[in-house]
Amino acid sequence: MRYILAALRTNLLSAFEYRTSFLTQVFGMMINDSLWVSFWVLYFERFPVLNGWTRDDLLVLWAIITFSFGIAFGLFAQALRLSELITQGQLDYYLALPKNVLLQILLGQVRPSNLGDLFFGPILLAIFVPMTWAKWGLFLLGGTLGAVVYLAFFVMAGSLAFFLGSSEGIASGIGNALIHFSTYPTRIFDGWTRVLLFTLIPAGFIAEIPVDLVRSFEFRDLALLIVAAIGFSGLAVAVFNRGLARYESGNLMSLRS
Amino acid sequence: MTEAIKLFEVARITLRSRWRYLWDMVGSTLFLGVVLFVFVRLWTVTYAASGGTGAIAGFTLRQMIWYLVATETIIMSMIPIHRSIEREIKDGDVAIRLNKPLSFLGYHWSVFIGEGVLKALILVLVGGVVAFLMVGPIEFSVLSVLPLLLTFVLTATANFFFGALIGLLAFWTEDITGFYFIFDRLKWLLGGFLMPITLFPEWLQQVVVWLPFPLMIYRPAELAVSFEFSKWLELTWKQLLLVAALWLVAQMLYRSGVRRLDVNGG
Repeated sequence: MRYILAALRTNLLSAFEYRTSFLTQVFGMMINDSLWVSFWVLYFERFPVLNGWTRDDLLVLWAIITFSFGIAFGLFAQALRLSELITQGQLDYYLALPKNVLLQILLGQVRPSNLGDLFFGPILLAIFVPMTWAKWGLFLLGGTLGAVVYLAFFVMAGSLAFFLGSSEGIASGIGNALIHFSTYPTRIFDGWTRVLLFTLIPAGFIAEIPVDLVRSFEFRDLALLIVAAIGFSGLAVAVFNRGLARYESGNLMSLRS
Repeated sequence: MTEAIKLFEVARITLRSRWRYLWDMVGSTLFLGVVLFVFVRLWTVTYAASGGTGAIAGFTLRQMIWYLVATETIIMSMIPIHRSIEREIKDGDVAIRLNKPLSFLGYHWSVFIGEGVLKALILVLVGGVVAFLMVGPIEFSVLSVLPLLLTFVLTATANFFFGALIGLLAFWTEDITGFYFIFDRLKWLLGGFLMPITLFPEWLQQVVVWLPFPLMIYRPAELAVSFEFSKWLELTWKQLLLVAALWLVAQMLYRSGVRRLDVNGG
């Protein structure tokens, strides 16, 4: 844990060196998120209820997914580049380091624009949604567990490169599908799509259960979310390790500063 | 005239070079299928809750989905021109184009249109198949194909100059990300990218009618789903005026930016 905190601190300080760029990206993403939320505000102005969901539920959804996304890809941004790193043989650098390979890859970079997402979620809630301390606690917990599911999914998608070779297009395609599904209320889907959203494309664990926790807490939902987060991250580590055993060096002759 | 021939040649060469990677482009547009699937579910639920299959704000469910195919085609067919221009300014590559017998903005416009036309054709094909399978066809006249193609080129041109204006800000600022997010997402929201502006509250409809954004997304997309020659004529002259205004501002911005350009080394 101390290692993770130290790595994050170093990465954040390093990104903050380019102060104007850092702040522009953070605020830029917050504006981007605000305008997406504005779309939903306009939607609910016209159609006040969507399958039992109101405007406030949608605001909670956007607060949670941006917070989760911010943790996952603001702080552990290299998960988005995993496929590229594997394909180009750039894991060699991490193999020579003493800590866990996957952990070091994930901790390789912070992305300021996604840190904007991280800040946006709590600010949105604080301004527009009446919250109690208990709800804040559930928001933080649900959002963090959602981030674990996001990360696990992207690690699995990126690890496909171990088995398929160059697969950046596929990895980003299925990653975008998860992001897209998670930005809409999953209750608009039914039948097999809902099964899909709790298995192959686990948007339900990011966009539905954490929101339900904040709306009306049930222990069963929390237990399900914890099990899903542990299950998906265990699966992601297993897939990555299985793939790593097949990894062949890129013989990349370059220096990494 | 020679300038026009050069621009046409750049667009043609871009189209031919992208054609070599046709299947890669088709693969990258498959995400549109996911987007449309989600939209179909959202609007099916919305229309059902509003009492059935009638029209909402002038759109039936079927027209709404085809409208979204059109808006996605407009937006997804565009290459991120602001990034290309920003990169050239930051790296100093803009200096290489200064001594070429082709204007800087003209060159980028040709590349933008060349790639955009090919991408749009693929997107219409992929989006059309998904929409056809999920909600069925809409009325469409073959006679509207040519006018709509011209509308697409004018729409893409307006969007090009809008993106170029953001990119040209790199002459003055270290990072254009913030400007891009503000202006581009405003265009999305107020231009009717995610839903027709006729669904907006009355007061907002009164505001957006004075903004350029609906001419860049809503009006061409609405024209594609319910084509009328009189609407096309009206849209065309408004788009021509918009393009002329954006071109003028972009030219001024470019000339003023080049004057303060310092390029070191080579």
